[in-house]
Amino acid sequence: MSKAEYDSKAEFRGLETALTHVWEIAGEFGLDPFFTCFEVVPAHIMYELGAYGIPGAFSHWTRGRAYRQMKTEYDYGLSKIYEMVINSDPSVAYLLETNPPIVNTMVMAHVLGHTDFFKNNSLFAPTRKDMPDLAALRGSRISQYEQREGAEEVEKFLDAALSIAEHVDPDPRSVVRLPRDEQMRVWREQFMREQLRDRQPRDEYEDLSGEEEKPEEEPLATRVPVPLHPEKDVLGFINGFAPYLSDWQRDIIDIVREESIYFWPQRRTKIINEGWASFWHKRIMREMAERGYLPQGEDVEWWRLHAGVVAPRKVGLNPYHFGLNMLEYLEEYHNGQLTTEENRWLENNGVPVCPKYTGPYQESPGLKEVYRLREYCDDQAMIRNYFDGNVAARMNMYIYTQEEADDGINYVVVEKGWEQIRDQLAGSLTNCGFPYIVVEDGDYKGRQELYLSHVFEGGELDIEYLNKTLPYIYHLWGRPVHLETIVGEEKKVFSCNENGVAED
Amino acid sequence: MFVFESGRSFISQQDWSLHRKGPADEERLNEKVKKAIKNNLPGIISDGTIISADPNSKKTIRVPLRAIELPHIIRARDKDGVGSGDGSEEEGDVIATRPGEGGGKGSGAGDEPGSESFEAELTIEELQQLVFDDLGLPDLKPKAKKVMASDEIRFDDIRKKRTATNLDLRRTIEANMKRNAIQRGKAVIGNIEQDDYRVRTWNIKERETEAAVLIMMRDISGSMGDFENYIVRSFCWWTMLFLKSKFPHVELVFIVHDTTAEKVTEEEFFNRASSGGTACSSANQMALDCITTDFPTNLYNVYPLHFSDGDNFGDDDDLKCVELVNAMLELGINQYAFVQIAKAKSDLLEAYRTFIDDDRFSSVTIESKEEIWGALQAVFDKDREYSGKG
Repeated sequence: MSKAEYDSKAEFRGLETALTHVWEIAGEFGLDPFFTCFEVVPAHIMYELGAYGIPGAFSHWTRGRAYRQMKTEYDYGLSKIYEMVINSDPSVAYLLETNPPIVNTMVMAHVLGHTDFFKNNSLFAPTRKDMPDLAALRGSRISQYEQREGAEEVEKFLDAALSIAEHVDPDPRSVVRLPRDEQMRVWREQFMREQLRDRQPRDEYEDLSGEEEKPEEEPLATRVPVPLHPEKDVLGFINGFAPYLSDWQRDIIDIVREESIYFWPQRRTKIINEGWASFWHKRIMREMAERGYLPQGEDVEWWRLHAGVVAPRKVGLNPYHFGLNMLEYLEEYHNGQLTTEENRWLENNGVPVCPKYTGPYQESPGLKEVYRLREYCDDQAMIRNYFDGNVAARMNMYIYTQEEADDGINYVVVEKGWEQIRDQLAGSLTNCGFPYIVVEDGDYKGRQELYLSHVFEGGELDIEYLNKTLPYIYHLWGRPVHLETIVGEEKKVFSCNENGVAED
Repeated sequence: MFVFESGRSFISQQDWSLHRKGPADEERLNEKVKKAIKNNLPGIISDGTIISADPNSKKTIRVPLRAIELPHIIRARDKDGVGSGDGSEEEGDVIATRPGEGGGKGSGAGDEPGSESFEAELTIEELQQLVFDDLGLPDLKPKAKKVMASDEIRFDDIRKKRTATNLDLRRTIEANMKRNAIQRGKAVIGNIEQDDYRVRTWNIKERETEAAVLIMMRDISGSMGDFENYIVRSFCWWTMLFLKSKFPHVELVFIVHDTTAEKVTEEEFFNRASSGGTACSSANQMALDCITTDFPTNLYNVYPLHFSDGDNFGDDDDLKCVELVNAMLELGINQYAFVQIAKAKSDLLEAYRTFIDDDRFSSVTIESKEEIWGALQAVFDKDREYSGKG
């Protein structure tokens, strides 16, 4: 270890001591994190990790761009990554070597909130806990393909797979895909069963009539639809059923698909996960100060950082701010610690008011309630179930719209009603904000063409982006691709073949 | 590596100094940017802001590159969003303003896929390099070298009087010791006088280089409008730069013509207009004369370049042009390029293409700004093979 790389051994020792204290307090509060390895890294490594999401993940120019962007923002002092933590067992977290020890102490407390969430939130149960190792293996497989097939060929295919990376089905029951033949057998059997089940008796006496009086049964259809039911796992379906893919291409689709599925719970819990981590770094640091574990006079350092992290945003939602406020509000509600004004709002809206709790913090009903949320909630569920007028008022929330003005775009407040805010937020989180696309038919018109359908949830697609993405899907599928959606209340089908995209 | 373990956690530190993954992928991005710029050259090089810029300036130009985005299927951008203020906001209040076009993205919209836009920044010099990579000079023949001043400066002279910053200490002391030996009989250092000082000085080096001349001819008759002028300007800008990149010394001759030709300055060449008719032969005659008298082909690489809209008065004149161009080729010029700013077949173009059988003659037609790049590549074709005629 050179002096330039890390300031001094003493500082490192100090961090070790702080970590011991953070663990001790986290345990007393009931946190149950994974074994967590902290790694102290220089800034450029932090950006690289930020750009890749998983250390060692495969190389791609989009990651080079993310890396450059983060580096530039850091160099110009615009933004700084404080924390980077990997959902794995053991979990891995990174600390910036240039941060003062007090800041890294707070980051460690924050990270334990995350690794507790990774371990205990039910959405994370199916994620692979050996992802860093897997990602590194896959990354090196992709570089082998680059050497064998040519970097350009691999990049083109990787671009195509990444362009629809979000269109997977993270439902644990659909994550594992059967091989094509096996899948076809399952669908064939299921298809027959469903046809029989759907065959209603023609009248209630049909079963009583004699054999000879029964009208002739129509024969069951034998052509099994592929897929049998609309399939959300577009990448998985393409992998199994695209007619001309070679092994390395299937592997690349698989790698992209699994990475996307791995990150899905993090996308779905961005708010509550950050809220949970902030909830805990605040409590742990406060307790650290209480017990005299923090160096004299450094209190203000972490409070300043904390205030910055959880600062409200006038335009757009800061997940740290929103998540922390939601959890604290719920905790106070269940502990009967709301203000009179807030209680009045509850009464006016027919919500019961909880009795004031005065016992020890660790056993408070409020704490139990937030632990319950941490176990089963995602962002959308938290907002749908628990967002109310009080919490909207606490955060001074509003809905804005963008209006053209002479000198640019104006953000104008248009609505302050909490129900509208709740619906706007919850709506924007459906399918993590991505359009819901399904495979309708993998053998459209019997010509092995792919027919996709946008399950319309009220928001139209960006047609320009759609036109640009379809050729990528065509590149993956290898045969013409169609996508049905709604434009201006009308059904439209966009098709892409070797001549480009056409609309009908 | 430094490890500390406490039950269920530890801190470690490794040596990351040889880790290069991020920068390596940044390089992938750079390659992609370069490729995208190359693919967009037709649009970029014909841009007005570029050809009005000083070619030597270090100023960077920004090129928006849609090709650097990875598209996704996304929802149409929702104009509505949720924010948190300080409680003072009322309906109708403007809480923030985003500056107009190109002002970047609003905060909070950054991590949606598809909201990425990419602008590459490159200097005019870098752009030139990309452009010149794809151009080639036809028929470079060894010419007699011309002796002329080059940029090179050499400190190869010693004087007694010059600026003291270039003082040659060794020679000064030598001179001092010599003088002391002469005057006092002892070769010692000391008592340095003005006369002892020796100062290094420089000469501008002359060297032999190949010379080239670019003879630009332009039809200024009434049928050449603003658009045509723009094309001429853009094409000439790049041609001049390109030749300058190949030859340290390029002489420029500007000729405008309607029914008669005239030698003009660069300024006039681009701005002169006339309402008269057209006789292209007048310019070609002047170019021919100019070559025979001022720029003999044994000393110069000669590149005549004629811009016209194809309108020429009379079949006779077309044939006369053919004759003159053939005469120039006969003299051993490197290349004659005819640039017609109009797509339609013209009699002049027809005549050229029918009667001139020499691969040093090239003719292109341009109809839009985007075609300038293709025309440049056609005229300065990197891959063309010459049969060695002429």
